[in-house]
Amino acid sequence: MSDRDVVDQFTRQVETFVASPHVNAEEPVRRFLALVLPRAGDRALDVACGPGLLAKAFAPRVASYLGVDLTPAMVEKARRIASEAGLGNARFEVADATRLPFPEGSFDLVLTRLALHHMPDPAHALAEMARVLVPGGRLGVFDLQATEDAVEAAELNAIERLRDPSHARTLPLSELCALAGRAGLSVERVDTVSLSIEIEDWLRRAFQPAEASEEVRRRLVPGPRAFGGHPVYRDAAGHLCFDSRYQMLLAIR
Amino acid sequence: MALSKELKDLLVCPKCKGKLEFHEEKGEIHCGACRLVYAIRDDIPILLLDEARPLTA
Repeated sequence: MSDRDVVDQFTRQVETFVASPHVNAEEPVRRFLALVLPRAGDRALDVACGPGLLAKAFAPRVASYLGVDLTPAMVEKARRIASEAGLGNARFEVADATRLPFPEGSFDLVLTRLALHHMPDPAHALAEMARVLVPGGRLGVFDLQATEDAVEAAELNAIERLRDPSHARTLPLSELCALAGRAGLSVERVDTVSLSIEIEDWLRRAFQPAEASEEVRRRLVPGPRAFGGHPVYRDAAGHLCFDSRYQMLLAIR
Repeated sequence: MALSKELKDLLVCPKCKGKLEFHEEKGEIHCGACRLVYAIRDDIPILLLDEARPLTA
């Protein structure tokens, strides 16, 4: 998928994305905050910030907060949300994660949430994030998690791509850590968290053709490892759900 | 609304990471080294290589 396709997809998704439980759930953000421990003096950069939802948790805890995203509609939305929330130190601009328009060593903290799985070249993006960090600066990554089983991971990614063509690849934790290492960073801490996602709601939010959704439904039958290694089950109300797994890491330049 | 001085001091060319020239009245940002023009749309500098056009003048 080209950058242009990603921009088109996310321009259509701005409103549903803002309302999505997947990006709004508080517990995963609390866990990410606890892992990253932002500092009052930090100049923070949020790469592929989307509508800037992470800013609400992080901006009040740092000196300055700059979010960048490839999609101008997301940047406009992020500016509006931050201004309504009174986040005086948060700014939002357009930039490509693989070609950041900032000099080396511009930030003390770089964050990226739910973004790497959209990137065809996550290694390149991580190297760019490392470049703009000061020596000793910290990178906090939060993303979807694939299991370490290659067959399960391939199935997970095939289903994710059916549901959202802007999905590139969800990585297993070992590969995420290896990519951070290759970007010249040393991994300090990792954490994982699960979130129960209702499948019909998840499909509705993606705006895909009915056939694609039908194919996803056909593949997602209840089972302990049914969704590429993650459980699929019915909740108390009878809705079909899966456990979405997230991984976080904190790495130092 | 004008771009803040703080932002202009921070931004560099996404390609060569060199200094940019801001021509806000024209809605343009130039990189002399790469001979590229980046647009400013709705107060948002579009510093994307895919959307840059060649600097002709």
